Amino acid sequence: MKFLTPRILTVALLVIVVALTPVVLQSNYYLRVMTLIYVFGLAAIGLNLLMGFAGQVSLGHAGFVGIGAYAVGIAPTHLGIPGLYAIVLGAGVSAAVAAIIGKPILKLRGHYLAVATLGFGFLVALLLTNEASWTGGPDGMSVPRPVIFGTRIRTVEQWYWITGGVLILGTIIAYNIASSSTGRALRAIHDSEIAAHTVGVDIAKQKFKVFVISAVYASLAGSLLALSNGHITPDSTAGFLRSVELLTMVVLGGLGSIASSILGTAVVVLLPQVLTVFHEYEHLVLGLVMMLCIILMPAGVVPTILRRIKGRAT
Amino acid sequence: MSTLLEIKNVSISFGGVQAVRDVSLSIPEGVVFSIIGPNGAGKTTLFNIISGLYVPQAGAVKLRGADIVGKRPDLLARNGLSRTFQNLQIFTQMSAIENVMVGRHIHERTSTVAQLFSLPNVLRENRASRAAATKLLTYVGLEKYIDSMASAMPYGALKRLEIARALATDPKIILLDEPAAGCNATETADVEQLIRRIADTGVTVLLIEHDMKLIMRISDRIL
Amino acid sequence: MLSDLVQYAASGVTVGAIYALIALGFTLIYNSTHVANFAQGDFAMLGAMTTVFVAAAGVPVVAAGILGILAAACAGLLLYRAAISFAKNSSVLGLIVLTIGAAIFLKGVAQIVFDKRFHSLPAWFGTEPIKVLDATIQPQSFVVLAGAAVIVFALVVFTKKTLIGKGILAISQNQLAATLVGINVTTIVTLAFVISAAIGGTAGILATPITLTSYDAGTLLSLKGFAAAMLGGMGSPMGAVIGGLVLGLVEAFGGGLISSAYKDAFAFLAILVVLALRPQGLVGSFVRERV
Repeated sequence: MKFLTPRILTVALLVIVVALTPVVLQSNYYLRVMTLIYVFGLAAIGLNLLMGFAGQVSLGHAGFVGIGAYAVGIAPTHLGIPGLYAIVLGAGVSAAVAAIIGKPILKLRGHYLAVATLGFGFLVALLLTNEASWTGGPDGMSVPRPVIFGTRIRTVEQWYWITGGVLILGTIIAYNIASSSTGRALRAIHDSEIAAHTVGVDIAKQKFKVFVISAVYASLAGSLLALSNGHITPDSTAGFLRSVELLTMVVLGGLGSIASSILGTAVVVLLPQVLTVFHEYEHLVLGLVMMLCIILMPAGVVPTILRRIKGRAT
Repeated sequence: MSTLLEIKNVSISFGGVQAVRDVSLSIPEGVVFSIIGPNGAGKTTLFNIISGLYVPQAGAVKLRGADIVGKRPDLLARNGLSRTFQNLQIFTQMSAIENVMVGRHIHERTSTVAQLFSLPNVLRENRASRAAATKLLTYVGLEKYIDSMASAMPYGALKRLEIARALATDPKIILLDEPAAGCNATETADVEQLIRRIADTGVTVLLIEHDMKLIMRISDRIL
Repeated sequence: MLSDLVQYAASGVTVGAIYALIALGFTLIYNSTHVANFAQGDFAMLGAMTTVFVAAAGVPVVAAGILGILAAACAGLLLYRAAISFAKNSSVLGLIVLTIGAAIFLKGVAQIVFDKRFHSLPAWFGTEPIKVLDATIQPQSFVVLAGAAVIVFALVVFTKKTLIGKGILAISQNQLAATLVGINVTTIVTLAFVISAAIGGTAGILATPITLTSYDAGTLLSLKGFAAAMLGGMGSPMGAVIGGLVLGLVEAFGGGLISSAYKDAFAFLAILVVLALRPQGLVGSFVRERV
């Protein structure tokens, strides 16, 4: 049984889902929805490392999604840098921005950190909206599809496989971090910053590190979102509601568990698709579902269900 | 015996309340040094100053001759200073062994990039930390709790878990803040025996305790 | 030039007063439950939209306004009694998601009960601008300022002089101790939500003749109110008022003198700078963690 660790189980399940979905659901609509889950799952995993593991709030993580998305939009169009390099460029810019703002704001606690990150997200969204000559303004811009080995990657199916593959890699890396000394230090900071500090954990450095890592995750997600969609707007990438969605994915799934983040993402991405049947009641039902989930499952959907199953087994 | 820790004329006050006033003491290497005094006398505040959590308004604290006032706690841990807490500061959402493994943090040196890809040196390091932590848990008598969540462990066990975590840094000096508080007679005897064994390995022990009998039995010096 | 500056100051203080009221409601709820209520701006929207539609049905504006405030107060009551009081085990993040869910829910309700268009209310004393030092100021600005001043004053008296007010103060200091000395925490917290929502509703009604309102006007107000409360220092009513005014002024001057497109950016930049220098906010006090 020891072989079936959560890490191996999660990765195996993920591989199966990615491999079998196109066999079972042969429609571009479903593949597109799954692609969205994979893309945002990546961002949610990164955010979970920051919030669930280290216990640091971010209400502006969509800012990094925006940077990643507009990197692959702007760099090929205005700077002549091909799409694939633009992904790396976006990740680099996100990491640099996270490093610059991380130093001062990670000293803040709780709601103060929340408002600072909120402000950061707002600033990115405003920049993207107002610098129209670069970004196309509020209506957004189209993103040129990249060429890999001489083929232009444009079909839904191609992006499905790429995003699925990246999510699997991102999941494995997140588990690697979680099981390393960094992962332990982050969880220690979450539980007792003082104790972690006195046994030798450099608190500022660890928070800084995970903030940068989570920014890179978000940025990669943004780049993939932009490339697979072909069109981006400030609101659909960096808007406050995007940040709220990311937050909801992580909290709804269950803080501190990587598998939960992916399932939380699936819930948040699928919900609006399902709720379109409610037409104008969509907002009302969405708000209601969010409130009910938190009230009925405060630990998150996945941990609650797992406990239910375990409770029945014993 | 050379002086390991020296405190000179240290004072600190919070909003007009003088918590520690003009305290001086000199702790030689390898002793069990106890500090006694009524509640509110500022003993824990003194510990907080020594371990770098508070910065005193006046005075000097020297660890092996080097001034450590204003140094961050994590740097002091790297210089061989470790402590426990009167009000437990346990990593409650982690298992007992993980708590102690965090104590090995300063000895874990693999790069973050290596950790991202779980390179062989990272796996080796994890195994080494786990082995060291297992040994320490056995040393303090918590072998049956190794994989228990800290939040599910009894109070007395958590007290010893903190000691194991503090020992994991391989300290030269360990600050124990009321290790026997809230313990019954058997547990107190266990703690006494544990402190003796720690002192026998050459680690200097700075102790705050209210149990006078315990103090009289194990202290080399008392303030 | 001078007239421009007066103009910016006037509009900054007016908008700032609205932010201050939202932040005040925010602080009241935070102090009683430690919940950051991201539906605070939606109380304002609800108060304003209700007033608009009731007035449009032929009811005198004053009566419609009272109904609007009542509607907001009811929403506050329900938010606590039907949702937050059941989520005692939630993490801070969970509670943030919960109140954002409530905000989306209220938006959804407004969208169905009312509509998705922009609405205004007639200004109380007409729209004939008043000249002050060559700047033209709308009479409604004075209404907003007077209204905000009255509310702040009433709240101060209420907290200092009444038993309920002191109860809220006690709960914000130490909930367990408050229970032990016989304070009925549930009733008082419920009241805090009702009062907070009523203040939000009033702010929305006061602002509508100037800023217009719509079903989705609440989100930005919530964020600005939250930002103002944090800028001032979380938990301090005085900080909320100062934070709101500073935020309004920074926006007005930044938007007027530098770039109107980046009006909101100045507000958040100011917050980042202030918090980098003073992590506890402008008037907040530093809390030392006890070991």
